[in-house]
Amino acid sequence: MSDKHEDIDEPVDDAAFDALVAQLPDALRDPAVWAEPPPWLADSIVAAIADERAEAAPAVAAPAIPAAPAKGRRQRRPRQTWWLAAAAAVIAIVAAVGIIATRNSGGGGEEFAMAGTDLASGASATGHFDDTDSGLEIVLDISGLPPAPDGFFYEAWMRTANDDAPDLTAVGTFHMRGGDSTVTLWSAVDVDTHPIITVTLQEEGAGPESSGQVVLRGSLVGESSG
Amino acid sequence: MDDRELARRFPSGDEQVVRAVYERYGRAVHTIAVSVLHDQSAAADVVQATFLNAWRAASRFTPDRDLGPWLYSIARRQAIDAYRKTRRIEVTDTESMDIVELPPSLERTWEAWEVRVALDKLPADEREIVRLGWFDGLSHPEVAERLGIPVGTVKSRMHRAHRRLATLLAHVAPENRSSASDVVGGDGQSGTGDESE
Repeated sequence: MSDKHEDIDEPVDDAAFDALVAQLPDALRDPAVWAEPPPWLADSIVAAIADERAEAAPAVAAPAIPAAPAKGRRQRRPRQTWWLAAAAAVIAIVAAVGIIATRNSGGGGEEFAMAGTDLASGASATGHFDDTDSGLEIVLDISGLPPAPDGFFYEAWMRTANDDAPDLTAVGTFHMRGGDSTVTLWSAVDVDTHPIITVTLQEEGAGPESSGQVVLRGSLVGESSG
Repeated sequence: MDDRELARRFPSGDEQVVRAVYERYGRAVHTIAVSVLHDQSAAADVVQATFLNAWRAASRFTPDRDLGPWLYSIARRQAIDAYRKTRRIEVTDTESMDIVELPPSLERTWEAWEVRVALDKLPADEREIVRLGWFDGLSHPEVAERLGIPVGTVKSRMHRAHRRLATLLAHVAPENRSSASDVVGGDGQSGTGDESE
């Protein structure tokens, strides 16, 4: 590789390269270095990520940049079909959540559970709350909820049970970027008037109101009317 | 789109951004997978798992870090996990695993990564010349015959490619580099047999 170069204008000096090769004697002859990935792999990766975006947390990714249809060997399901399925799922989940919550009168705080909605179907949470001198302390142990993407965060709410015109009180924000975690929330409203607890995905700078994009929902008392 | 912009936008999962990251680093990730597994099919699975896991963790990635070393560390760990599964190794000591059981070493895979990234930055005609000359072991006249171009053109392209590679890989030279474990953010031991230190 150090033959004289006869027809170039640059100085014929491969010394730096030769020195480098001498230090990396096998690298340029390593079959792994020259191995080419299969041509379908890029499409497959794009499709896998698009699938996970759509199925695990569509509301997390969708506000930023909608995914284009994948062209790989794995085809995403048609979007319309997905939303129909999601609509059915959310009805089932909301109905199921009503019977998940349990009330523990054993003195260690009231326990409850939360279920992921169709926006975060893999998510769930258990929790307990205590009425302290400072207010209602709510501790959530959340699992399966993806990290909020840049520009977004999660916000927990306590709300009244009437779905038509509920009164919502924010009880804390978090982002889940450290993985599954325990979140401590504080509330000044009473569980008897605001028995429903929800977690929404919020966009930074979008104002203090709930986005309505509920990812977790549960009841702090024995049953939910929402 | 530079690396930082790619890193900033990667968490969105946007198709164009994912494809751009793959175009820049997918072959190098594949190189790491093949280096560890020596199995093209298993390597493809590792590449896909690497990108999927990277995307899942992307929101925790700080864009002011380099995207390449971060992907490298994920790829290597993913490949080693696959290696362990395929070899059915009983893992009792994770740290010593990299040193004692797993060829190639961290240093070797990092070199392979860097060389592949550098090769991918060459113009296609220069990369092909380097492949034929170094990997296939062809002489300049043989390369010229294979490509149907003059020998002088082969030599000039090879020379340009060497100069580019020398520049792109200067930091890989032992006297210029920090340890691979530093480069990739503490991904275990070096794996070069210095476990007695």
